[in-house]
Amino acid sequence: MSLRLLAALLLMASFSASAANISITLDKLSPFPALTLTCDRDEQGVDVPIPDRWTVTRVSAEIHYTASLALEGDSSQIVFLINGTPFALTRLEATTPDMRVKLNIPAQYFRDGYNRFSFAVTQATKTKGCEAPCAPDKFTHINLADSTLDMDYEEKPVPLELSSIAGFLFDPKMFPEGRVNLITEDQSAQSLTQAGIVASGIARRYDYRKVIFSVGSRPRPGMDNVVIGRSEFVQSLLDAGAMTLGSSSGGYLKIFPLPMAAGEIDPAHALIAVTGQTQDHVKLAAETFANLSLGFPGSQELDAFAFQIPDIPVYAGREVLEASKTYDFKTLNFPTTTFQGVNPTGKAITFRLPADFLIKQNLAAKLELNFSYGAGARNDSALNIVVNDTAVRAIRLGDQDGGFFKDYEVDIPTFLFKPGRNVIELGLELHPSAEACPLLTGNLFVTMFETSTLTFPDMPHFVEMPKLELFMLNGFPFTRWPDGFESLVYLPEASPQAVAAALNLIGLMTQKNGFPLMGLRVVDKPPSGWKGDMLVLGRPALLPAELRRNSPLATGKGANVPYPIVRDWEGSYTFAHSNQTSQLGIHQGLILEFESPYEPGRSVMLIGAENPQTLFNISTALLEPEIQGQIMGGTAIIDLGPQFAKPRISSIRAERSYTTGKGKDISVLESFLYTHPGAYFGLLAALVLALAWSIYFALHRYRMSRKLGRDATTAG
Amino acid sequence: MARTGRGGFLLAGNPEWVRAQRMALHYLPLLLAFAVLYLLNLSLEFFDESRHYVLGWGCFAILVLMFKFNLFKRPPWRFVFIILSAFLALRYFVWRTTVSLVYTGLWDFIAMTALYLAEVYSMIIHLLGMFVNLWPMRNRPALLPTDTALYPTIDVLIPTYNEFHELVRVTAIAATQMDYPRDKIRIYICDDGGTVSKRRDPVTGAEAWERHYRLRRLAQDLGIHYLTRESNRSAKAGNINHALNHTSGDLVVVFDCDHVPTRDFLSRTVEYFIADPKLFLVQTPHFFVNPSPVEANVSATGNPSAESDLFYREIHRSLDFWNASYFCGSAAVLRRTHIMQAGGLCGSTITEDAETALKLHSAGYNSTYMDMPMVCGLAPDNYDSYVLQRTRWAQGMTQLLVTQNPLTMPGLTPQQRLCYFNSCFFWLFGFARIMFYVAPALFLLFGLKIYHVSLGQILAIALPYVLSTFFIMDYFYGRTRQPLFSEIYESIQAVFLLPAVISVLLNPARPSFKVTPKGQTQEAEALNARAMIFLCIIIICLLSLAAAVLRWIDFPAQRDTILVTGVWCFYNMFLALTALGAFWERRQIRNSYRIHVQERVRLFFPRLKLEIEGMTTDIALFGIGFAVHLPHPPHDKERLFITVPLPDGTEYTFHAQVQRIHREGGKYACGVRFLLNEESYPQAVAFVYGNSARWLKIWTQKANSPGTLRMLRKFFTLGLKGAMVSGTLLGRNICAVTKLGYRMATSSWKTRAEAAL
Repeated sequence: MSLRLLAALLLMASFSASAANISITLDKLSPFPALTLTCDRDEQGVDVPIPDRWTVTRVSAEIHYTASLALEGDSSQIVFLINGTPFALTRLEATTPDMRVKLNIPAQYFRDGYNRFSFAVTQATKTKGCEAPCAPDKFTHINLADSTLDMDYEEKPVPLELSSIAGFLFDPKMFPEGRVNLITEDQSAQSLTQAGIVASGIARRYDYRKVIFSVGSRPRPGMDNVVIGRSEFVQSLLDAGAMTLGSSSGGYLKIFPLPMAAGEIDPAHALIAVTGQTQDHVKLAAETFANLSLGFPGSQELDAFAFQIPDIPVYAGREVLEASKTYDFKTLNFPTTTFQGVNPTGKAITFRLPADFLIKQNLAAKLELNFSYGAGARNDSALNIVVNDTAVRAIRLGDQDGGFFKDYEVDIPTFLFKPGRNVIELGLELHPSAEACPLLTGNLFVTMFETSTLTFPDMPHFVEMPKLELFMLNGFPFTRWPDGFESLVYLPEASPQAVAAALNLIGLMTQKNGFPLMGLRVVDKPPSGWKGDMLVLGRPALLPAELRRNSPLATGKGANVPYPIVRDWEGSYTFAHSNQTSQLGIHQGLILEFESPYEPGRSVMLIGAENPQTLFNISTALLEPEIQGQIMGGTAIIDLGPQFAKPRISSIRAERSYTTGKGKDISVLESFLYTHPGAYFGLLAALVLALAWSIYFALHRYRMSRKLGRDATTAG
Repeated sequence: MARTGRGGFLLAGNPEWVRAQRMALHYLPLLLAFAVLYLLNLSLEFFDESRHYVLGWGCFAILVLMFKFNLFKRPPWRFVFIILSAFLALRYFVWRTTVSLVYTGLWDFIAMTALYLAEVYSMIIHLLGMFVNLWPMRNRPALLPTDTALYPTIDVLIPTYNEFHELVRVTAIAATQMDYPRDKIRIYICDDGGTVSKRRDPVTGAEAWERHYRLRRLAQDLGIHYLTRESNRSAKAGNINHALNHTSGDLVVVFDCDHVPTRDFLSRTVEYFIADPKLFLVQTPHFFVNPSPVEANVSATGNPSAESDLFYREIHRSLDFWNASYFCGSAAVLRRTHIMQAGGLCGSTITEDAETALKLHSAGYNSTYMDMPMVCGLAPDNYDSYVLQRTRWAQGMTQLLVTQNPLTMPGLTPQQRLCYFNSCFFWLFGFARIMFYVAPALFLLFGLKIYHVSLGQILAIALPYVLSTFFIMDYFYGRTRQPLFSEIYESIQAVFLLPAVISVLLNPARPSFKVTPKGQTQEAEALNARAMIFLCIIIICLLSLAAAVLRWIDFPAQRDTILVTGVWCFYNMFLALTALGAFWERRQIRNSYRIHVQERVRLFFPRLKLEIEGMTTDIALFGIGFAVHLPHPPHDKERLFITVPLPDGTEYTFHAQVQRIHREGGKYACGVRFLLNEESYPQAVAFVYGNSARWLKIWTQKANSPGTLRMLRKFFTLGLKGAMVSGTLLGRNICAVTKLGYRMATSSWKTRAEAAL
């Protein structure tokens, strides 16, 4: 065995690093299509991720910008910087307002990780003297969508250490996407569940970076591969590359260079064995793999005997605020920050609230701010608090001598928040004193201390379903328990594409929720009587009859298809129903969410297509944020037809709704009455009438006895 | 199995089945009530704001519709109305309790809790009010036997303390005129103003002796009895107990000395004692001929119902349904045996009447309320008397609550417990009312967070409830109380009653019985000094509204709360202004009040030799006003004869003299004075006070009294005037104090300067 390993190492050393090129527009690296630089000085930029496994050899960029016609060329310029180091600059001339500059960027300026590619401007207008620092004609517009970054790089050999799993291999800085191939022993439920855990672990390491899984029986070149199965199966695959597993008595992990055809290896990609003697050992190995999050171990293999999962609170998840708990800003990724100058860029706190939060209208989240500000600012300077794009409060910084605030309380009404992602933005309006000339700006600062806190009050968990947007938000309802407990994935047809589609969605849910889905089960048999939530991928025709009955849209013979006709103000439709025999198109996919026939308040989500490849394509399309944002309601149809430049999506609210909330507290009756308000009001009216008449009959005799002056305590 | 007349089926002769039916009849409402509560809880747990709007305003719209049609005022539709109102109230209360109470700091918490407790109080009273008023008793059948030998013997007690002799005289005469076999009735003037101890007292002795002689003489003249005792121990209760020990009739009738009975008083009340041997009390309404000081302020613009009408025309009927009608100290018939079994009238509280009734109810005896006004009394004439009377009631009922606690007292039925508790607990309204006055100011002036709700929630949940309370108040009491008048009455009393109630809560044995002065006069119109407190409230409201404007600008995120508290504050200011307006004391120079009634009278003018029919405009003991068509104008001081019909068909003729003449259209409106002597005076009493149908007619007229808005406007105008007057007065006082301080400071400086020189 050692000889074989030595040979592999020699081969690896002799394999020259593979070279590649990538060219992307800068808007792919920014949430905005353009940047506007304002005031007499400003600096903004994009973060260029460089994966650990890349060695950048050449970088060039082409930047398209438009400057104001009012700028004075002698005094206005734009500087290009990488990680704060200027490498190029040019004048901002009124005579050439629309410019496209080509830049060669020294490759050594880039290092592994996120590199700040920024644009700093100093802008002066033709008016000399004491001019307004933020006059509206001081701007330069960087068109990111029309600016490109071109990069040559070489891929480094993968260190044959299991710690590579934690960062080097599945790296969120990999762009535009990560690709991983999973090899399973078979398509049994057990193997697929193990693959799901592995895929979930991989996706979590990729953070928000899109990752596409494929499934095969052999390693795929050009990407990292993970083989999952019992030792004999894994060893049989390794034999082709003359690689061997070590002896193990539990769950076993080992990293290899990727074997290629004809006995060669690809040292830039890895093959990871997730194995064990028994299926339980394989599952243990998968769980261990999913949770390796430190740069440990440095060895090539490990033998795991047990894996203990901590207690997981329901509704926990990535960046999710726990109700009634006080968080300091440091915890919320807002370390002590100084905002300085005339036009300092604000900073935001981003957090998430559980997807099924029923936001109460009358409560308030509490901010307790600790901050100081400098002296000499104009007394109308202010610290603005903006919640989800709604200005809530401006704190006036009115003391000319500066000031320090401790525990400055700001109550933010909870109706400004929403389930899912929320942003509290702290923006600054700092102005120098009008009398000061030349303008002094160094004294204009606000320091927000990380000891400031945010407390969000408790809210009930209750939501009317179906809401596919909640799935896109954080994988709800499958991530109600963050590890996917009480959820399963059902594959009526376990083709490699269907399995890959399932893994893509498992990866998506993991990335949304930030927790590996180790409690999620994958099954290939109809899950009759399943009391939890269910994700089904496959052909709609293969749906079990009970699910078909509850499904709002069926295909095939004699299908009942609802067509929305009139939309009301609340977004509900009036439907016309057509009985027809029809199918989905070959490029069409269907996403449905409806109440489980097996358990009230639980959901079934169907992602269907007529062939496995389309199903896989749909699953990869769903990884795109742009597509995710359009999926909502209870029914969505995605058309990937070549006639469309982009996938075409139709989403509608469901005809029938149901409710769900925390645990299983919502009874069938409650859910019914909520989703059928007419029934609620009717029942209420009936009960009130019945109560009134029952009181009448109960009191009638008594009243007669009182009227006739008989002994009221004995009569009636 | 047989089909019954109503279409139901009975398993005839099966007692188990009948018992099961009865059980079902008793428990079905409970079961259905729980189902309604379940739906209520469901809505609060899961409904979003839009559905809350539908639910709240839907219920409210149904209430408004039902309110408009008389059909829905009778059971079982009445119960639908009550249930819907209770639903809105409970919905608000559960929501308020579970959603809006949030701890945000110590001071906030204290203020929030105080407001919440005030709301809890109001909610309890509101819900108890619905329960009590579920099905008021009306139109009891007449049951008096024709055989007078079966009639029980009666002692009529007229307790008196310091009232005018004339008041006692009128009441005693009216008592002698009551329709009842003479041999079965004895009348007693129970004089506590001429007791032995009073007569021996060097300070009060002379006056007590004079009173003693006059009343004893009066009793002799009228053929009735005079009773007094050694001391004034236990006040009115002691006085009546003394009389009970010296009399022996089967029944005892108590009339305060200003409560003049009608002739049919006994014939309409005694019958119930014959029908029900366990009956200990028949209470009748107290009808007041004069307006209370509040009513007097708007008598020119409308005809407000008397404050007591609410209690005697509505609430007491409802209490009667639950067998919880209680003794109100006068105008009542009691069964001696039951009273004596309880040891006479109780005297441990200053509302001995209610206390006695509570004790006898707990002993298993029954009471009845006869809803026919058959005594005519005098309401307090001015605010001092008014507040004194209300303070006694408030303190007495609070004593009863603290010392007897109807909720735990053994022997009462659950319904009686709730009724008595409601009657006692009501008097804590001062706390709630004051809290409602200050609550918005706590937020607007001091920023205390007292009410954590959004505007949407207010509109969807709170507002339908608040508006429904006005509707149900009008639904229950609309015949006897104009909208917003309850708030005005409570506002007027709250600030004065709260300290008195608190003193009882701290020391239940402290209060002593104080007689309400009656028949007092007021020389000139003036603002009562007590009104100054409302000026302070108005100033606080104005400051709060100014603060609301500033907050609106400075705290955009709080605009919901600012809007709600601002509107609330404005409403408070309106109430305070109207309360201030109600505090004017009207000029009152007569001891005898005119009663505005239109009745036919025959007039004979000897000078003209003309007999003609006229129509009265008002009547009083000493004369009447009438309008008549005459060929020639009557002369001043002209004498005439007036013949008036009595209810029993007989007639009285009075000799009278014209006092004033006024031409109105084609008629002459004249005021005449009766020329009464010893013989005709009792006839005048019988004419003016003997007819219960007249009092009933006045009651009914007041029930349909329009002009609420006019009266409220009048209150408001008077309030503005009062605010200016009291503001000026306050300003002058402040100036005077400032000037005095300046002078003192100056003189002190001068003194020091002179000393230095």
